Amino acid sequence: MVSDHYGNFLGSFRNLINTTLEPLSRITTLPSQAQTWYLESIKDQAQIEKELLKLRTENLILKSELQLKDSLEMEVARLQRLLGTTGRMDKQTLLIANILRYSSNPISQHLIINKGRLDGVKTSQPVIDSDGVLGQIINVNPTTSTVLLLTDQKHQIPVRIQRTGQRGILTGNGYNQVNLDYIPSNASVEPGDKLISSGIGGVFPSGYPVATVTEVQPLDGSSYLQITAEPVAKIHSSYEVLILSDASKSNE
Amino acid sequence: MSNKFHDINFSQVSILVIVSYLVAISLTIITLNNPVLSFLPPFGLLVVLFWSLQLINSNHLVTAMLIGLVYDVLYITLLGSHALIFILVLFFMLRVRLRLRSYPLWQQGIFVGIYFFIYQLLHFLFFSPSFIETSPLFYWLMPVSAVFIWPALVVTLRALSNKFSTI
Repeated sequence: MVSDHYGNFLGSFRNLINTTLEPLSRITTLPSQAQTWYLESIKDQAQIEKELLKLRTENLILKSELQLKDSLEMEVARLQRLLGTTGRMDKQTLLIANILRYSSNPISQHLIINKGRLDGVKTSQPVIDSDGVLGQIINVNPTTSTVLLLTDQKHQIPVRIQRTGQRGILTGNGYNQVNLDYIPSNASVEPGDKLISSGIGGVFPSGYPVATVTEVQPLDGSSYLQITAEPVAKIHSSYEVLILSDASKSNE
Repeated sequence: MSNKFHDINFSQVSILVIVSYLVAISLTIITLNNPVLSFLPPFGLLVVLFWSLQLINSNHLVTAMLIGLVYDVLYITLLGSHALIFILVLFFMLRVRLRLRSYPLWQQGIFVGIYFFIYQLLHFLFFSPSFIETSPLFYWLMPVSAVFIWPALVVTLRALSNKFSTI
């Protein structure tokens, strides 16, 4: 126990158990897979066509926004060169993964995804979905890996408030809630404020949306506010996630 | 069929023992993803306790540790922490197992409930669970559900092992 706590000496042992358990966990996901397959198969064609139309429209809108984004990115790079602060927007490469199963219970919040060491996944890579940051990879097996969700009690992520730039640390607090710590009681925080990753820890890249503040409470006798927030990522309903990796690092 | 345990050797039911552990772990994986299901007892430990009553020639402590390690991997807790609790609970059981074997099922169930309450207490101290979406009621109901699941488990596994050992 001591060697597991103070060093990752037993990481390979943990991986061994995980890999041997993999067939079992695949079997246990069969019923839910059968259910989704059945629901897919009874969808009628009109519904599918409607969905296709919706996706096409969405694609068109997103592409037009992307055109703007490219020119804006160049503009930002030019301005940053003028200011002498280069390289703040790192290029990220993406890897798409499917969620095999979730785990949400009083003592741990994590996901198992279907990409592993054979696909080039490494530990402490950030994982996002279409809306925001989900968590980071803590354990890599040959074909699967474990993602610790940002709502887990053991997970912390450095963030800043988008409106004011105030920095804090976001700690998981169970099912679908996170706490924002280390915000002084004289800071300006309101419910509805967006929290984005600040990139200070070096694990999460800067600028990704993380959570929205839901409640701000001053604590008597404490110099910090008690702030609760809700993750923007669809933690319990997304089934495809993106694994980010630093393009500059992977080229080395 | 009597309420007593028959004397069965491990070699007679070895396949059943392994399959029962695999089923217990699969059930655990299913209960992982829903916070409401935290009222279900750890099936791995239940099955270990059953076999420790059934096969009295060995002390099952190593099995309890291995199943505990599997739980540690599934719950991403410190390796060995579930294993330690499992071994402790099994040790309490081993002290009284010969007496417990002669009790009727409901009385065994109550004893198992007490053991699982100790388990849950240690679990609470070790892992400090958070109860955001689920009420703590489900968590603390676990020993009660163990009282009711134990007789069902014993009847099923005993019938199966009698069948296996007579083949």
